[in-house]
Amino acid sequence: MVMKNCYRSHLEVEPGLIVAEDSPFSFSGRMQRLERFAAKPATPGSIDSEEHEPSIRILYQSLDSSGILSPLLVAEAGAGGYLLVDGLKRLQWAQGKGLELVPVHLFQGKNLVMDVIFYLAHEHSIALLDSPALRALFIRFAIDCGLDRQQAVNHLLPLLSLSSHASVLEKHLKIAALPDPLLWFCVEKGISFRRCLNLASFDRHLLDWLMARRDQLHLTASIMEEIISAMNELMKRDDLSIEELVSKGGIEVLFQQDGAASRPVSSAERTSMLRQVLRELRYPVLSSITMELSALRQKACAGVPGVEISWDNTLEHEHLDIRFRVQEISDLRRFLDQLGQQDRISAVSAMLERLKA
Amino acid sequence: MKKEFSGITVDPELLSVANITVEQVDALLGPDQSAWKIAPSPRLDDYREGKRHLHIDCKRGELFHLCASLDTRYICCSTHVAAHVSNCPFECTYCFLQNYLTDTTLTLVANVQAVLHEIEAGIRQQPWRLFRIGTWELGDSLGTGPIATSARRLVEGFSGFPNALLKLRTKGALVEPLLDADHGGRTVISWTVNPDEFISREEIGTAPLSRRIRAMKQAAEAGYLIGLHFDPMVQFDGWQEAYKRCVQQIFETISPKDVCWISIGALRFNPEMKRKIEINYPRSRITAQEMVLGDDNKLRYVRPVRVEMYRHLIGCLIEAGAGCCLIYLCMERPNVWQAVFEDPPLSIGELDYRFAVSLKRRFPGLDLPDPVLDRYLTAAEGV
Repeated sequence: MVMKNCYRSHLEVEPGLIVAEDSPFSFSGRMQRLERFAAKPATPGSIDSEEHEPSIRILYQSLDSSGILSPLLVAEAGAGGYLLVDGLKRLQWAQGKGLELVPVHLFQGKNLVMDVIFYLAHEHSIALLDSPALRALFIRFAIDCGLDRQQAVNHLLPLLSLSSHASVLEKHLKIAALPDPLLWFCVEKGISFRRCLNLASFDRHLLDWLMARRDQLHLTASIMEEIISAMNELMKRDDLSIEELVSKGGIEVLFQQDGAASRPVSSAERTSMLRQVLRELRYPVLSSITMELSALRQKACAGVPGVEISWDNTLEHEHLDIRFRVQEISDLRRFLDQLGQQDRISAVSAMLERLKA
Repeated sequence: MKKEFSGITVDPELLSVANITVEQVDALLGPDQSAWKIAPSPRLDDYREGKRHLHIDCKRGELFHLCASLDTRYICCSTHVAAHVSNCPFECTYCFLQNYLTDTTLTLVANVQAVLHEIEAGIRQQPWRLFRIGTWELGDSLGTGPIATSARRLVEGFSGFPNALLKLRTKGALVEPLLDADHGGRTVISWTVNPDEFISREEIGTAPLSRRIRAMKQAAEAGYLIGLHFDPMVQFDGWQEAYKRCVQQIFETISPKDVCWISIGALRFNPEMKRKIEINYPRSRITAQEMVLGDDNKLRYVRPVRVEMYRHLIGCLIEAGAGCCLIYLCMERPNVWQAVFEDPPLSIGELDYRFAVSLKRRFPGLDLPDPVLDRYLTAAEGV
């Protein structure tokens, strides 16, 4: 075994001694736990090939120009071998290049899981402090890796600047149970802890449904919350599944191909249409009264420019506000004449009656 | 027998400063709750955990005040409260306490005499007025054995007050500790009532309607006045029939003659509470109805729906012979009152006066003060 001290706790080891099979930890790979995986060296040819995702090509280009800057994480596996903890792509690159040594950070001893988790928490501390969703993902990752809950409460939570309490752990695990695309959406949008926790209370199928249509919609954190909340309430109120709601509620049609439409519908327009449909479904009484009032308002205001009639949208108050613009005294005379016509008075009277009904 | 509490603490100050004896504490807790320790409140912050720990405390500061929900933009009943209980053993999905209490420990003030002294001093200042004083502001008045035992002392204390009625309000059925108390007609035991399909879904741990009705009958037979609170009144599939049945069930067992008042209030909560309910009770449907934000920052059903609900329930009550009772709306707008009643009160003061008039007329044996409208109106202006 060839091993050389690199700096402080970092060493250099032969790539051939590192085994990636059964490697349990990989936070950088979006925290997916590595399944049984035999390290397959990347050949120089394959590095540039189209089969690699752009991010990996960029990594390889960076490795080509600067070498391995961030040490691989390995654990002692006995008999002079090492188990790869993190850095599979770097290892493949090194093997493909035929390197004799790679820098590693070595974990030894009994507290392997805890040491690795804490090392990773430290390495990613800035991102973890910034993003509640990422924090939740990391805590789930730590538990998946075998960190027991008591250790997580006593040691990991304080390391993440969280209070050392079982309920804090539970809340983060609740967030971590959100569908992965939604969690990464939360990371991307910097969604707050409270909002993430709120999302965790919604129906899983609903969340999956929305995330599957993410590209067809223009979602901000608050719009997403509004849509999920309205759909969740409709499902609860009418005891519907997500499939039943979208087909019965006229939502499905918004996501079908434009077909006969004269022009493609943009994601912003579709979002606006979805919100409108949901508002009407969610507030049937208010929507129907508002429609009646709007029709009456049109009658009352037709041909009287500069007049606005409005009412309390919640219908809690029963009065109408009538506003008109007066620049000359003749405007006032014209307004009073026109609004005093019987058909207009009838329309305003009908509006008041509707508000009081 | 299942242990009622995970822990019981008795505040050291209760024994040292308030001069309550160990024997008195034992008597309050009863034989099933013998294991308690002297310690300050654990000041629990988890809402559910707090319900399982009983802390026996001494009175701290003033407890007697006008109901905090009173809002002059609404016509409210201007009841007074003496909150000697904090938190509640029951778990109603709509309960505001889940978003209100910072110390969630179920706390009971044990030096009842001090509470009575404070109330007596307050009601003496307006001897012409009939005070209705509830203990339910932050919890159920008869939720557990020790609370009911403590309530008995309040009942006996109120029997000597000339111008006040004690309002105990519960969703339970624990009236036995009160049945042989010397109440002097000065206590109203009232129940929050709802159809069973709602109770079983949304009022976790409370007594089913049939048990509440049985307890009402026991209380009425013991000479107590009965109050009914259809509050929160809720909308669900078949609500009309369910409320009709609920009213029929009640008045098949008790007589409207024993009922002094009936309140009705549609479900309402503030927007933060809505979130809380959705997180704490994801299966609950109560937040999924069509609601709007009122002037008091509370979400309610839309006005036409509320009016329909109130008219329907009042119709059921009249049909059941309860039209003689004082029926009133809780925290409602004047325009809703007008849409529901032929002759609604025009102000908070007038409603307060109507309580006094109704009780004086219907229960002359109570020897309550003669109500004078102007005094009630003037007093309400100062709110």
